Amino acid sequence: MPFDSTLFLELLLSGLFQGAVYALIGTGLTLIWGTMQIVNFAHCTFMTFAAYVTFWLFTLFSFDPLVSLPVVFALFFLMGFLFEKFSIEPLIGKPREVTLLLTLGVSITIQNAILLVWKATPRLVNPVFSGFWRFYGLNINIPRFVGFITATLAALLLHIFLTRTIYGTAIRGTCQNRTAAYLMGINVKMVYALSFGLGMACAGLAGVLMCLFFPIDPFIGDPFIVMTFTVIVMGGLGNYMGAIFSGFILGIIEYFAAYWIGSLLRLTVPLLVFIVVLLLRPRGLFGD
Amino acid sequence: MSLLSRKAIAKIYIAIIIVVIVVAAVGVYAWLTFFPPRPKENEVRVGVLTPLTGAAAYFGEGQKAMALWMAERINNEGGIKSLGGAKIRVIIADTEGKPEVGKTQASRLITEEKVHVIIGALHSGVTLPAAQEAERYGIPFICETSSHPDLTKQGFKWFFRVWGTDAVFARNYFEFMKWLKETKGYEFKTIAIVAEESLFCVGVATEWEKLNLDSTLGGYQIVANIRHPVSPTDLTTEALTLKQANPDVVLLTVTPIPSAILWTQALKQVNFFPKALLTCGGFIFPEYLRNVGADGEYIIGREGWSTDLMEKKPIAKQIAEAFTKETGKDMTVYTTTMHAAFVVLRDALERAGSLEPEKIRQALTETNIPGDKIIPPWEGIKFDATGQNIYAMNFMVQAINGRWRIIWPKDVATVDVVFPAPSWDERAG
Repeated sequence: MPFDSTLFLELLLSGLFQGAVYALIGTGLTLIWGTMQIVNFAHCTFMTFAAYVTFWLFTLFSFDPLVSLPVVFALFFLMGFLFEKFSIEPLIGKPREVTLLLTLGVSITIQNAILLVWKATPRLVNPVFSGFWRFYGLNINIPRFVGFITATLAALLLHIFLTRTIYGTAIRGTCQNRTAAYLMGINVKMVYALSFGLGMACAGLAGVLMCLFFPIDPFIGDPFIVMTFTVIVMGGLGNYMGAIFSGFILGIIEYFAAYWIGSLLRLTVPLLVFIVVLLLRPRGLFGD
Repeated sequence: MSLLSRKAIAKIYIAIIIVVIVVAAVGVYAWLTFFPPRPKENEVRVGVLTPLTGAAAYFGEGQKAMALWMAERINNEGGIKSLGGAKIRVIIADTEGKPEVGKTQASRLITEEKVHVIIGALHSGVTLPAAQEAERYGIPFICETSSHPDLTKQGFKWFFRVWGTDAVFARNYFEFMKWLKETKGYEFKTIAIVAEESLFCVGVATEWEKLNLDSTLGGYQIVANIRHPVSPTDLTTEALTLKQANPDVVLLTVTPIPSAILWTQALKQVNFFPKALLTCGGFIFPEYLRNVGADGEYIIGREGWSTDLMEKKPIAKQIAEAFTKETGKDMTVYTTTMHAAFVVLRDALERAGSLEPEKIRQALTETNIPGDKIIPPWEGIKFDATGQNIYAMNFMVQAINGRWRIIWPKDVATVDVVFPAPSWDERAG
């Protein structure tokens, strides 16, 4: 079969666009793990919840998802901050299973509350940026492209925040050595709440982006769970740059595997790559 | 000074409270064990198995609404007259679309809720273990929608299926294609088969592959045969595969509506639409068309329900209008079959005149309901020795101007088929 450059480019772009979503969800989760060593099982459910908030803002106030972006970001940051303060903080120092069960319980509760309130009916938001760009035989899905740009921008802003601000430095410091951070006078409890808020805000952003190109229902988070955890472990637990990088890599691998090897193996091949990476670098690509 | 300190008195109080609680709990437990609450005998308990969570929850919600609505309707009309006006009590059990949950729920309905009949369970994969439980306990099982052919090949004695089998339905597609070729004079040669990896969809796709081997009916060249995971997050690659293969007709089966929406988006993205897109599953619902709008136009599906039926059959108009008005739910194929299951149930109970399982089963085997009592355009409902309704069949619908219109077979069709379907570019132009 001759090499089809248009097809190659189309697969590459689709993989990149999907990878951006994995990267964004993974970044939030890895941030929380990095600072607090907490596995937030409710992360993808919060993303689903954010998608519904976006849908409601669209239905009730005709807010385009891109307009909802800062609103949802702020709302989910606040929610995450308060959730950490009132639910996670009292459990710090307890065995890790306690927070694990807490987030799992919260996930189940939120998912069923969504089902109760919004029912299982699939909903689709029609954003301003819709349709396709077609040139030289290439078909670009505009909402997915917008999602990719937004996710990349968010990752960039997060990187600037974490490397150029005092709060970001405090978070990174706590990630590296919690005891040393205490000794340096960093308010570690505040760092925890801040990180959790930021992580949730990332899940919120991912939820908004899902609305751009995905029919939402109470279970949209489920297919992303496995890939999200793969992304953060492959990137190196707690390393947000690793999560971003492996999100993109796994997205691209998934799309090429789906086309050339078979749709049923679309997740198997990225997971095989993940296993190979762990065999070669047990702490992940960017792990210490 | 008191004889006992305050602390000691508090301890005694706590001990007394604990003793009282323990005695009360033991008492209640013993009472329930030796004198269990007897279920009311002037009611018919009907267990309804349907998915209320998971990817098919939307369908389950419709079925639940129809089951409760039908029970209320029958009860308001005086209940089951041969049982002295016994009322129907519906007990809904969520299967989550999972076989193991369906089995447990069926067992619970029979042993704890003491149901007289079970109706369910939408998914073929769930119906099989649930029906096995009903068979084990000797409880009649009325299957509303599950269409896997194997369900009526198990030698079940208590199993009755209102709806047809995939073997019959799959054949309908090839008969339709043959009719399309003959009436439209268009010689198409290549097809593609696409299915999500669920028991139902793989069953349908396998039947398609088998039927295509029959040169009198099929004999087309299969240029692409795609299986993809259930609940995909994107289908661009699968659509690209189809585009590269460029078949004349695509036979596509997926169950959840979100997957149907994703397929539509992906086909539009890669700018490919076959001459006929024949679908089975998640496409044929009002919710799908509401979401995709004009992009859903010209898609063809197999159906058991269409608003066109309201023009054809008075019962369809009467039930659909009242149901939607009173529950706010859409009529779908799943509510249509749930309605049919309750018609069968009521008829059997009236003739059985007893709540003994064997009498109900016997009445079910003698079912002979005329076509004017049910919504689908069938001759009626009558079960063969395997429990299969011999009259069940499908019709083909096409999305035209935002509505699913009946296009085949000719005697029930309301509009002419649009064939070949215009490409995306032609539609935009």
